[in-house]
Amino acid sequence: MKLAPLGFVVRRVRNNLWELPWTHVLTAATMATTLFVFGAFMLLQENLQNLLKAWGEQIQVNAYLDKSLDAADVQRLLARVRTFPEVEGVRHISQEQAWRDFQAALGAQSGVLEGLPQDVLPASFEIKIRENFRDGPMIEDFVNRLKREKGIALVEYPQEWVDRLSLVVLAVQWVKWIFGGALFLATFFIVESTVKLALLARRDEIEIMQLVGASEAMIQAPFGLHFNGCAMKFQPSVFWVRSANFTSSTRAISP
Amino acid sequence: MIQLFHVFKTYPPNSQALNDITLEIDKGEFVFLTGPSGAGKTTLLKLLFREEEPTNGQILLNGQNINRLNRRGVARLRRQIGLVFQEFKLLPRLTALENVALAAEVVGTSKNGSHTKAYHLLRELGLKEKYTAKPLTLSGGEQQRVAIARAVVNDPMLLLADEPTGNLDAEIADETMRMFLKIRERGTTIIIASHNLELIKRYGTRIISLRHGFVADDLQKVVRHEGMH
Repeated sequence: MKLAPLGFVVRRVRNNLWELPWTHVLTAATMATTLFVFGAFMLLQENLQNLLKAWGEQIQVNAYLDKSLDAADVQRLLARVRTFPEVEGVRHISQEQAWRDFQAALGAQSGVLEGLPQDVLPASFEIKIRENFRDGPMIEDFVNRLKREKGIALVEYPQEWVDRLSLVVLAVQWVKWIFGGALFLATFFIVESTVKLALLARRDEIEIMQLVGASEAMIQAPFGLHFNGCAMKFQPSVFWVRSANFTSSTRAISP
Repeated sequence: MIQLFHVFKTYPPNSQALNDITLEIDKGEFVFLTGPSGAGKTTLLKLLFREEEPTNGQILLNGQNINRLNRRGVARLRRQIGLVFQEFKLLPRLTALENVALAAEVVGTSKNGSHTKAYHLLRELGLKEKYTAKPLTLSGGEQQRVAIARAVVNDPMLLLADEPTGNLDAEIADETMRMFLKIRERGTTIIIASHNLELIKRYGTRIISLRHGFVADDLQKVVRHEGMH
């Protein structure tokens, strides 16, 4: 666009704001509120997803080993467990480590353990599950296969917790699509109607601009700038909310 | 300059506004389109500035088929055409000067350039004192003069006026007609749709009568305009 039309467009935007301030304020407020609500919902669901993901990361399967296994057998079994597709990581807890951990967990009351043999606790594998497999039936299937492995005496995992988490994840997914979809449609129609009403208020101006031979760019540019201006007004608040992402604080809340 | 070949215009579902119109209008002609309401005068003007497209037929403006123009082409076409309407179509929020300058600015004239042109035109049309006035504070005749100034600010090759004196009293209507004649002296072709027989008789050099969408009569005459010189 040449300089003269550019100056014309800028002057039209300025005059539009000056001549119809309430239309502008209402347009900006409606668009800001609508888009803010939608943005806030998206933020909320994203944080909720992150919270569930953080909880999901706490899911751990404990596989207790036969006491008869020697160090080489444990290494072989460790390598074997690592080949399961569900496994993200495995930590081997030796009998000695288990004893130390238990003592540390008891803290000041660890004296009650005095007199007990230090190999009373079995060695184990703490297995972290990949994100895609943190679902009740999938974990159950994995646990069943793990139980059939030679050298594994017992497998435990928080089945009830996993089942509840799976349900919550499913519910969040549904709410996200249904409520988010409805909200998106509402936002779309409200913004569309607001833009149409604002254009309607300028119908005479648009008609005259067309009649005197203004190009489409010259007619549309002031309105484009105007609505972008409206949309930009609420962006700082969204960025503020975005930066206040509470994921990190919710990560601390784990089962 | 303007050629219409077998032009038809039908509005849905089956309203025939124009029927087989074939016309030729030369550069610099001063043409009245007349006829009763619904004869097709306004439709014909709308076809000429591409507000509407003909259902059938061709319209050539300086040899260019205006039916084939895209949106950009239509905008370019309208920059060469001045339009005057019965209801003036001025923007109430702008001053008289800004209304006129608007048409100059959309063709790329700078703000200063367009305001200077608009000011000279308004002065020429006797609105020197009113250039900062908003349209609603002006009389009908003054508003029409502002509209005429806007129509001619870009020196159009063609000026189309749809019932330009419809809202004006006889004296102001007469004055408006004299303005059109003055504009014609610059070489602008002028087509006025009107059913004001008094004015047509006094000023018409070519009178095209429409009836039910047909050209009923195409009369050319030599007239002397009182008070012209």
